[in-house]
Amino acid sequence: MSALLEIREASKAFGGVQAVTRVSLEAQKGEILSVIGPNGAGKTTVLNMISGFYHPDTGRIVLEGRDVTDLAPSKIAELGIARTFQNIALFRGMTVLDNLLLGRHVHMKTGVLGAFAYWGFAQKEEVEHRKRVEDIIDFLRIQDLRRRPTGSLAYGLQKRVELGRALALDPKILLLDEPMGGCNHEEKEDMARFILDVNEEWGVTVILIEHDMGVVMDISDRVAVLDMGQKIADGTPDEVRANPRVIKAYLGETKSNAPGGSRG
Amino acid sequence: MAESTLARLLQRNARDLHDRPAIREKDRGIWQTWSWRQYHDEVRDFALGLAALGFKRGERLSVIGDNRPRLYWAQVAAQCLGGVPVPVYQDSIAKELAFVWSHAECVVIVAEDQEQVDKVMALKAELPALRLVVYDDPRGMSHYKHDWLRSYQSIQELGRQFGAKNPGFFEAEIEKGKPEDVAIICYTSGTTGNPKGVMLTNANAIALAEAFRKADDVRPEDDALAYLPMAWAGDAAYTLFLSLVVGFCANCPESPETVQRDLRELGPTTVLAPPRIWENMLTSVQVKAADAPAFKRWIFERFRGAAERAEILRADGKPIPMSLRLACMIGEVLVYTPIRDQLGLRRAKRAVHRWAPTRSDSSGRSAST
Repeated sequence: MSALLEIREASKAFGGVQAVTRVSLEAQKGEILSVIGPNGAGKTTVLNMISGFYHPDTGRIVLEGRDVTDLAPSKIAELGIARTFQNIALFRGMTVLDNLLLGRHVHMKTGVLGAFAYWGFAQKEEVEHRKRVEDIIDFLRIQDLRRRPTGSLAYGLQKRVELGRALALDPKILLLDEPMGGCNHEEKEDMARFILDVNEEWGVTVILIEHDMGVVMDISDRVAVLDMGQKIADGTPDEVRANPRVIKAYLGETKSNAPGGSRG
Repeated sequence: MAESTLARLLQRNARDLHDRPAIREKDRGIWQTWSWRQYHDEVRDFALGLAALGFKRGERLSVIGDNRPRLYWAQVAAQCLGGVPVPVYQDSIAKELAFVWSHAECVVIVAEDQEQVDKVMALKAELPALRLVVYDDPRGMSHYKHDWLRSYQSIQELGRQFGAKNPGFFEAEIEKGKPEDVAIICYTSGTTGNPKGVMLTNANAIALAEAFRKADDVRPEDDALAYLPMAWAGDAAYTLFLSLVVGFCANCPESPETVQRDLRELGPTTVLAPPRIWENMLTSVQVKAADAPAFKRWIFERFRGAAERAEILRADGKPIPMSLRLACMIGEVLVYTPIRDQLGLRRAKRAVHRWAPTRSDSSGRSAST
């Protein structure tokens, strides 16, 4: 079986810094794949290469058998890869509803003129998009926040809205860059639940970067570990937890403990 | 009143008020309406589904969750079959739930969502009488596989098949109902020991609703917001009994967090709330008034005082001087109506506070008309 997404030997350097070195990674359809590693291991760079934000210096990125290495981020989004950001990237002055509708952008076909006339197709299309967005609002339980400017929301809720905006794309693959970073325990639990539900009920493949080992080990089907820009392990949570190279990367030379609860 | 049971009232409403709105739920930001005809059919399908799975007369069905049409229908469905609904508080902890469910020997529990189903699952071993758990919202339920766990829709589907094979069954079951049959068991809060199950018969329920109707002149065109816990006797009295007796429309808010906005959007004509809610409204108005610019605050205080003085005179049966009357008329335009509008009480003909003591400076006063 061929993977939904394949990263083949991708490398990326920024000046003299080799951020990612010949990393290969496969995401199977329908799985939750976590990418973990200490700070500076190259996790976000890998995500940025997938979403087209960076292009790898060498190596290929293949989505459903199609080479997408050199496509622009907007093209990649159209192909069904959505992402959230480590530092929230919402339009703070816009309402939750508008932010989510914006996530539908790649699916909107009405032109400027058509939207201006707002008649026939344009109207029908907007109703369709709104329906989809309402599904997401219902899913994320943010009915009470529809009309609130996102900038006025608590941090955990902004993270939730950002997930919503990514979901509005109807993605095949969802890239989540630290969706729980800076969240409290309850917000983390909610977010973990949403990620599981997105994966199970909507069949979205999830690639997750997260530092909270408890969450990663709990919800992931597979975990890949990066260290110093190289992949050092790849397997089920249990395999990874027992891998001596992973323990070494996290804790240095002392081989005493698994990477439980470490903040990298 | 010819109909002597709640189930017969449902039949009457479906016949006489068929296309009038019976219940609404805000879903995906839009108020969805079911007419009495549809209400009746939803109840019938669910009742027949329960019957197909062996629910018998006198058995207890519990509901747990926020105010949802389907949870109300489940209760009425049980009543149609001669069973007894036992609504429980949705935020109860496991120990309290275990007591009520085993004390009432509930055989069916209808839960709103995964969160509530999880509570039931944790207690399943302690509830030998429990045979069936039904969930309304399928979200997150795809991995739950038990033969005793079913979706609301699957029960209704089963009911439609059962109904096709047994025509007239539903009507015959309603026909068997008697006024002295227990219509609902409401449990007390249990602040002084274990909760006690209060059994209300159909006759009790209808008498209670009739008293309400006479006292408050409730009409079929009224709208009420169903936002208080279903386990509370007040909500049962209003949203189940009174709605069935009078035929007015009950409206379920979108989520507990949106109640205040939904209230304003809907502008119900009848608002039932315990003192706590009125006090919260009063506080919110006072806080906002204190934040207002000096001039606005002056106007607010001035006309609030006028309304208070007039209301006290009226309550004491004394005449209200012309100047005060005039002040109240101006206040109506400048202050009272806008505040009522903000609170969602613009169309409210009556604001009821019952079932608990209020402080003497009753906050309901400035809101009631």
